[in-house]
Amino acid sequence: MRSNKLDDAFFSRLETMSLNLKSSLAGYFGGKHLVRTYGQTVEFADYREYQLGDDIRRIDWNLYSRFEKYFLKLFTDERQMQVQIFLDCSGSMGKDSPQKAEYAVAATAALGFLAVQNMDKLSVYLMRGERAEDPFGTIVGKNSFFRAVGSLESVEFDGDTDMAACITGCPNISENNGLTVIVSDFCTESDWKKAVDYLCYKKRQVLLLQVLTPDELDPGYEGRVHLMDSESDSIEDPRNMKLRITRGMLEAYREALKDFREDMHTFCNKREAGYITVSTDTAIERVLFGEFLKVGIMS
Amino acid sequence: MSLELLVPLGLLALLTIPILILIHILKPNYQVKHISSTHIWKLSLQYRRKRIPINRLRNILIFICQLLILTAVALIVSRPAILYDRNTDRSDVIAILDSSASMYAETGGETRFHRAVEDVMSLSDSILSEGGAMTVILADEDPEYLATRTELKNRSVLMDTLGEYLDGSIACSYGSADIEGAIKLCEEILAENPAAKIYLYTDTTYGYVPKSVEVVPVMGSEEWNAAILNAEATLEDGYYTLTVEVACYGQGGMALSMDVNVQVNGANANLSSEGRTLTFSRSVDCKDGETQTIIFRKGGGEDMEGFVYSDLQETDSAFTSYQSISITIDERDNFRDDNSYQIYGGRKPIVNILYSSTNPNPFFTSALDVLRNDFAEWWDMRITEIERKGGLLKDPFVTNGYDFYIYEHEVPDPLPSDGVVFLADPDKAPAGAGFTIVGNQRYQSSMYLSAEEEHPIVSHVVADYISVTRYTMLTYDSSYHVLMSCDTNPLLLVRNEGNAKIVLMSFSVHYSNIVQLPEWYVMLFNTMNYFIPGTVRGNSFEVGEQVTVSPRGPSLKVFDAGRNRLGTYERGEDDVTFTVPLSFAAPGVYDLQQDSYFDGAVTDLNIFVKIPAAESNIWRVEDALAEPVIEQKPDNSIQELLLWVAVALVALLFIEWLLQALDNR
Repeated sequence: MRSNKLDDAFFSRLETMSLNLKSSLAGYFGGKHLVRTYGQTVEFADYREYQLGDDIRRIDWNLYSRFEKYFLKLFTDERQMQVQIFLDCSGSMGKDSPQKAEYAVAATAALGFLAVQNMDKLSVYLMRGERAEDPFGTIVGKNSFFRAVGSLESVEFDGDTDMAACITGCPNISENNGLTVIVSDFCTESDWKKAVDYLCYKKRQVLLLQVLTPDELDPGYEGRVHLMDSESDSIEDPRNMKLRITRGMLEAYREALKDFREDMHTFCNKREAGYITVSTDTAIERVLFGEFLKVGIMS
Repeated sequence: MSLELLVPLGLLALLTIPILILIHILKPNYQVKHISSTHIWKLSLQYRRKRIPINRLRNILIFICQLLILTAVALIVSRPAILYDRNTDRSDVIAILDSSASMYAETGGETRFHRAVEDVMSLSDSILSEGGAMTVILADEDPEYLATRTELKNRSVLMDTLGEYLDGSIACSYGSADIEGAIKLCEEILAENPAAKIYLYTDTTYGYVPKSVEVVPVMGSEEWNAAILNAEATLEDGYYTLTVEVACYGQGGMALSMDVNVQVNGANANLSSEGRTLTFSRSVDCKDGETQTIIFRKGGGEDMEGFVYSDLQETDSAFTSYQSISITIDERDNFRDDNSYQIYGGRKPIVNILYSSTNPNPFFTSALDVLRNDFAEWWDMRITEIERKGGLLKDPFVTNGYDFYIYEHEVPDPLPSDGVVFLADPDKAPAGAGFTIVGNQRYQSSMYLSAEEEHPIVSHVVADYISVTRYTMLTYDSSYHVLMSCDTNPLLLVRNEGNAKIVLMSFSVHYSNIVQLPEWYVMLFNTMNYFIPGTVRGNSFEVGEQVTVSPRGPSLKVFDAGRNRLGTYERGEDDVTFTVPLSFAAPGVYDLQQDSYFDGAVTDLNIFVKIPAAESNIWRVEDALAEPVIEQKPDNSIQELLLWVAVALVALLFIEWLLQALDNR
C-alpha cells in the first residue's frame, strides 16, 4: 500500500506546528518541551532560599546585599520526550478499506513528524495479533524519520489485533516520559480500555485516534445483507452476520455508534486522555489543524 | 337464504397459497457485503432487540394479510352470492290464531278457540299434503310463532303443538289479542315469500281487510253474551251506593231481560256483630250492544236512558258497611266468565295511632287528620291523643296496642315494640333505642338543614327549606340512617330493623319552621306510607294488568280461589322498600296473604281479577285490519357479493401496504 498523502508539501505544512505535551512529564535532557522542574536554561523561573548543599555559585549576591539572606536563582528546564505511536494493523483497518489504512498511516506520519521536529524520540509500533512490532526502533531526527515513513507506507493490514495484549506486553514503555498515541478504529472485541489504563498507570500522556470510514459512520446499504467482517476467517465465522437492514435498524446502528463513541469519550475524559474520531473523507490537514488543535495536543 | 359460489372452480385460485408460503420460506436472499468490522452492528442489535416481538407479529400479520388477499381473489373469481330462498311457487300459508278471552265463547261445548284450532289443523293438513309450508302464529298479548314455514316432514310436530291447544293442555289467553303484532310477525315470512297467504282465525269483524289477509270468522251464529262490565260501591250520606254496569252482545237486536243479583256479605257490622248478608236484585232490559248502568242506592232515583235505579230500603237492603259484595247475572249465555263480579275493600283494616305529648300542639293533630283522609282508601285510622302535662306518674305511658306511636318531648322507657315509633324532640334516650343524648345546641339565628341519605321518608322533602334554632345533639349506632343534619349533627334519623321501627326527630316543632312548610305533612305522609303502606291500590284489576303490591310485612304469599299458592315473595335484607309487581293470567278472586313485622299476625286481602271489558263484546267490530308491509327485495333471487369482497380486498391491500411500510422503517 502506497500512500499519496505523504509528500513534501504535506510535511512542509507541519513545519510550523509542534506537539503540546503535559508539563508534568519528566522526559530526558535535551529536548524542547518546557517542564515544571527547574533546570539549567537561561530563562529565569523563580528564587528560593539557600539550603545546605546547594552550589554557592548559584547564590544571587545582589539579593544578599539587599536582604542579607542567601537566595538561589532558579531557571526553567526543557526536556526531550518519547512519543510512541501504536498503529492498529488489523484487517478492519485496511483489508477492505484502503483509504482507512492510508489515513491511519498519514496520521501516524504526521504525529511522528511533529515529534522528531521537536527533537523528541519517536517509536512507531505496529500492532498485529498479540504483539506490538517495532520495525523502526527509536527514531531521532528527520532522516531516520523519513526512512521509517518510506517503510510505513508499505505496511500490510490483516488479521486481528488484541490491543491490550500488544500494549501491556510492549517492553519499551517507560514511565512518565512522553506521549502515547493509539491509532485504530477501536471496533474490536479486545479490551482496549485495559491498554489505556496500563498507559495511564505508566503516567504517560495518552491520545486515542479513532479512524472510521464514512460507511461506518453512516451505513448506506439496506435490505437483506450478509455482513462479512474483514477480520473473519471464513463465512461461518461468528463475526459475520445476516441482517435485514431497515430504517429502524440503521437508526439503531447510529444510536449504538453514538453510545460507543460517547462511552470512549467519557472513559478518556476520566483518565485525562485525549480522544479524537476522524472520518476518512475528512482532509487530514483539517484534522491536524482542527481536531488536534481543539483537543490541545498540537500548538 | 344461503351463501353460494356461482363458479366454484374459482377456488382453484387458492392453489396460489402454497406458492405464497413457499415464497415466504425461500424469501431470505442475502446480499454479501464486506465491511471493516461488524462490531457496531452487533452492538446495534441490543438496541433493536426490544422491538423484535412486534416485528415478528408484524411479519405474521403481513403473511396473514397476503393469505387473505389471495383468498379474496379466489372468492372474487368464484363469484360468491346470497341465494334467497324465495320459492313463490310453493304454497306458503300463515295462520293467525286469535287467542283473546272472547274466544272462550262456546256453543255446544266447543269454544271459538277450539274451532279455530281445528280449522288451522285442517288447513295445515291440506297445505302440507300439497307440498306447501305452514306458519302458525298465536296472537295473544305477546304474539309468538307456534310453527315457522313447517313442511310435510315436520307435520307431526305441528299437529302435536296444535293438539295441545285442542285438548286443553295449553289454554287460550284471558287477555286481549295483539293482532297488529301478529301481522308484524307475518312480515318476516312475507319478506321470504311475498305471495304467502295469511288466514286470521278470529271473532272480530273488520271493516277493511287487506288483500293478502283472509279473515276466517269462528263465531257461532247464535252466540250471545250478557256481561257485567264494571261495578263499584261508593259511600253517600253514610250509605253505600252500588253502581253496576251491564251489557248484552248478540241476540240479533232483540232486547234481553236480565236479572242482576247482588249479595252483600258482612253488611252493617258493628262492635257486637259481624254483620249480615243482604241479597237484592234488579231486572233490566238490554239490547244488543247496549250498556245499562244499574244504580242501587237508598232512596232510588228516576230511570233514564241507560241508567236504571233500584231503591235500597233502609230496613232490609241499605247498608253502611260491607265485607264483600258479589254480583251475578243468571243467564245461560255463551260466555260465562263475565257473569259475576266481586267487590272487596268494604271493611278496611284499622290503624291505631297514638299521639302523646307534654305540650300538645295542633301541628301533629291537624296533620294526622289530613293523613286519615288521605289513607281512607286503605285504612281506617283511629287517632288517640294523650296530654301529659307535667309527666304525672299516675298517668303511665301507653306503650302497647297501637300501630303508630308519636311521642313528643317526653318519651317512655323502654319504647313500645308492637308498632312504629315517632320520637319528636325526645327528653331522654330509652334503653335499647340505639341513641344517646349528648347535649343541646342553640343558635341566635336560624340554621338550615342539609339532606343526607336518600330515603323514601324524605322523598320530595327539601331539607334546605327547613330551619331550626335549637336541637338536641345525639350519638347513634349503626342501625340508624341519617336523613337530615344541621352543622354535621343528625336531626332526622330512621331505624328499620325487625320490629324496631323508629323515626327520630331531634328538634322540637316549636323551634323550627318545618310546620309552616309542606315538608311537614309530606314527611309524615312518607313515614306512614313507608312503614304502613297501603298494600294495593284498588281491589279489581284486569287480566294481564300489572298490580303493584306493597306488603306491610317481610313476606307476601299469593293464592288463587282454589287456595293454590301462586308465589311467595320475601323482603331482601338490604331492601329499603318492598314492592312486588304481580300480573294475573286468569280472572277470579286472589288472596294476598302477608305477615306483620310486629306480632307475626297474618292478614288476608282479597282482590278480584276480571277479563278486559272489551273482551265481553263477543261480536266486536273493528274498522280496519293492519296491512302487512312486505319488504322490497331485489327481483332476482341472487345477490352477488362481488362488491363486498372487492371492498375487503382493497382494504386488505391497504393494510398490507401499511404493514410493509411500517416494517421498512
